[in-house]
Amino acid sequence: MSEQTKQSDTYSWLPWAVAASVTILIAVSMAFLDVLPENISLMPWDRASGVDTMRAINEFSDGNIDMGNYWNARWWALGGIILFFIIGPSMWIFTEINNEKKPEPSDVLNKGLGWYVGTVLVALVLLYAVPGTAVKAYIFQNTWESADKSRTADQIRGDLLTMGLELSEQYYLSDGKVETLNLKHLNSKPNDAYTYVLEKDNQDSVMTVYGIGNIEVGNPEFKNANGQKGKMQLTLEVDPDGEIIQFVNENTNKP
Amino acid sequence: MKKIILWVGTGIVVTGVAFFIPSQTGSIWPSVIASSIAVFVYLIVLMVVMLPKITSGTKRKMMGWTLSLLIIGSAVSAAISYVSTQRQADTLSEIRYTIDSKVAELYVKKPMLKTLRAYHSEDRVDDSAIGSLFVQKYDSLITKDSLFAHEGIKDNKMLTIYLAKANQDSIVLITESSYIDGKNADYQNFSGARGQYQTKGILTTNGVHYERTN
Repeated sequence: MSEQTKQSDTYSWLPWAVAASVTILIAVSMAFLDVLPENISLMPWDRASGVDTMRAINEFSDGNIDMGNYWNARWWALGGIILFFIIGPSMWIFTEINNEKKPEPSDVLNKGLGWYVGTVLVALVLLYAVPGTAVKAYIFQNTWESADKSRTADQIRGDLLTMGLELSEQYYLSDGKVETLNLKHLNSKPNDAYTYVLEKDNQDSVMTVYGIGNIEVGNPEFKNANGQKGKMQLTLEVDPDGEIIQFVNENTNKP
Repeated sequence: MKKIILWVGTGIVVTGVAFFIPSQTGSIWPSVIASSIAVFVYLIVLMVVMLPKITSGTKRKMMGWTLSLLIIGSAVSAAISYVSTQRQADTLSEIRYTIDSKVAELYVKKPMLKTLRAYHSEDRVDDSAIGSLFVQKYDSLITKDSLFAHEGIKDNKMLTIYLAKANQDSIVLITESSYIDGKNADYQNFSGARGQYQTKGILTTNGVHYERTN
């Protein structure tokens, strides 16, 4: 084996190390140094998500479904697909095939610009597709767990509002006889996945209704009004002689 | 060189055509999904045709695994982004429904209950009927075009409360949301709109009857 071939085998990892370093440099620059304009993501699905999130927020605030063209986002998405999934992998494969056909170069780093460009583009996508996807999956799980808790809180809050208003109505119609008021006698049908507890003193018109969810949130040692521990609990004060209903923070266990 | 230009050119044309087949208004997901399918097919064909031309077995396997990982990882990432976007839109819509439906209920029932309280109060000095009592109490909020302009919803442009009927013995308030779709798309709303969410609250001496009418 010639001296040149030996040297070439020993340092064959060097081009990969250079490509990996360039990839890390680009990835770090994109992540921390704001080298891209605001709200620009190179991956097409992130662009598509960004546009739909913006549309959903606009619809939420003004009620109109936005049917704009979003040409800027469209071109970025198409450009990203072409660059990372066509040009990058194609250059990598073709330059590898071509390099195999060439005689062993004296300089081990001399793989050609095409090889470096292709390898860096593939490595960038790989970085996004493997660790990036793992992080994304983790965030996805946490986000939707948190959204489910908020949904439960909203449903309980809605039920409490309806029950509180009806308790006040019953109070007026019964000439203020608090002792006759009972959640079971209300016409409103709250969500049966949750528990509601009415706390009252027959000498006082102010009543408290607790809504208890089936999920654990906040303080694990919290004592719920139905005897459970650590479950979500929202509290509504019903004051038929005052402001009628009012959500209060006392005795609550919220997300 | 010629070969790579031919492959890349074909890939760009196929992906570009797939991208522009769906409608180019609103969400860009249909275009992104169509072009992603096209580009994944391109990558698989590229691997099947070109990778066997690499003579080093180790290098061939490494490249094959890398590109497979790239396709699978990207597809999973795209799927997470898509599901997340859809859920986000659904959640926002659900939140808006919860807010508007409960705000409607609160701002219809609360003034009605306050009127009911005044009607049943032991301290009541006049003997007005419940309908008249409501109109006296909330006269400043009732506009010429029968809107019940409650302070609490003045900033909410998508929820309107109408005083649909006011007579001696009863009051009817109707709420209509321009954001929430009703159950029946052909339903004729109070404002003349069609298929929107609508509720009705009726106040009589027997109490408040509140129901969703669409």
